[in-house]
Amino acid sequence: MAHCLIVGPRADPHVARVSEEVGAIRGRVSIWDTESFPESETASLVDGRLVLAGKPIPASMTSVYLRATGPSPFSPRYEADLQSRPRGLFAQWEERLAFIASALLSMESQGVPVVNSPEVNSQHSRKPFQLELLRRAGLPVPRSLASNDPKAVKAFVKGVRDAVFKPLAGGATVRRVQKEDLSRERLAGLSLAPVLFQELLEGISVRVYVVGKRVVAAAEIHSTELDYRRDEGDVASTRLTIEERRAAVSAAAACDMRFSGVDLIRGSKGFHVLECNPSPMFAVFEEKTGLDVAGPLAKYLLNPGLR
Amino acid sequence: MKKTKEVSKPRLYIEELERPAVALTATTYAVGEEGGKFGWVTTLAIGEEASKGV
Repeated sequence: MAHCLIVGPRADPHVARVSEEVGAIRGRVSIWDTESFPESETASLVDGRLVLAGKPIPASMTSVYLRATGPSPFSPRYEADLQSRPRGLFAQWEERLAFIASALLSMESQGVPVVNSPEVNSQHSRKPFQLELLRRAGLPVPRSLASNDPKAVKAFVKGVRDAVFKPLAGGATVRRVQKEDLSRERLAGLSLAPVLFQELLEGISVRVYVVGKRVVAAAEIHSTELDYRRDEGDVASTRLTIEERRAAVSAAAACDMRFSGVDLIRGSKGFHVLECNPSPMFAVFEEKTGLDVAGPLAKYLLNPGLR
Repeated sequence: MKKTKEVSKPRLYIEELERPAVALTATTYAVGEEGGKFGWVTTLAIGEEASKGV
């Protein structure tokens, strides 16, 4: 019987949906609950083999679905620890991640496909690098500047006329650059960390889910907000053009993602690829659109050779 | 008496990143799964998309 491993919080709706769909096609699922690890769930790596709660994970596993590695030190769960023992907390976090990533990379090296690999997931917090992968694949991406140089930022914004800014590693929403954002006081903040600036692209946001080399669902997301995560408004399934479909599949491939939530923006002069998300959310997307993402993903997990 | 000039600590350009986790997560959950909305959680914990920690 085909058997896959899901890595993520047991209570996560995406973990539940994929687990349900794998069961529906008579596959077997094991779950590594990263919300409970290491506090209440045991795991061991015995000469490169993963053992969860005392049970060895078979080498014949068809695939691994990495949904999430568990809470970061910035999670409210660790608020007290962040205040009282920050060094210990960060060390704890790094050690836990080292274990999870090592286990998954070991399985991958043993031939088990990981959806998506920890290395691929790291693109989410290295946005300029991912933009370069997309650019090199010939895909239309927004003009971008990652910098801590106030002069470079001013020149870039002047050149593109309208710009947005966002973190390189995530954790905050996209904001439009306002006049006051170019003041000396504001730009002094760049001495603490560089920021990613991009040309503002007007249009309709489109989320495309790619599994393997296939588009399985796409929807337009209408919002009055620049970043629809603040208020997504209407979400409605959409038909992609051949070019959009090819671009979404090429984008996922360029980023080496077996499963991806590709963000496009449809403008009056064509579309751009904004980002490929390595562990996209889809549960509420399914509810709102009636489209099925978990089903095709489950089929892929049980047979990753499928196109 | 001589006045001492107060030097304010620099803050990140992206001020949203300075906010405490509780506030971030409150926002997150408001637009996330628990709020019944789309669930594009921006939290660092299970990050949009999730495996930020890896």
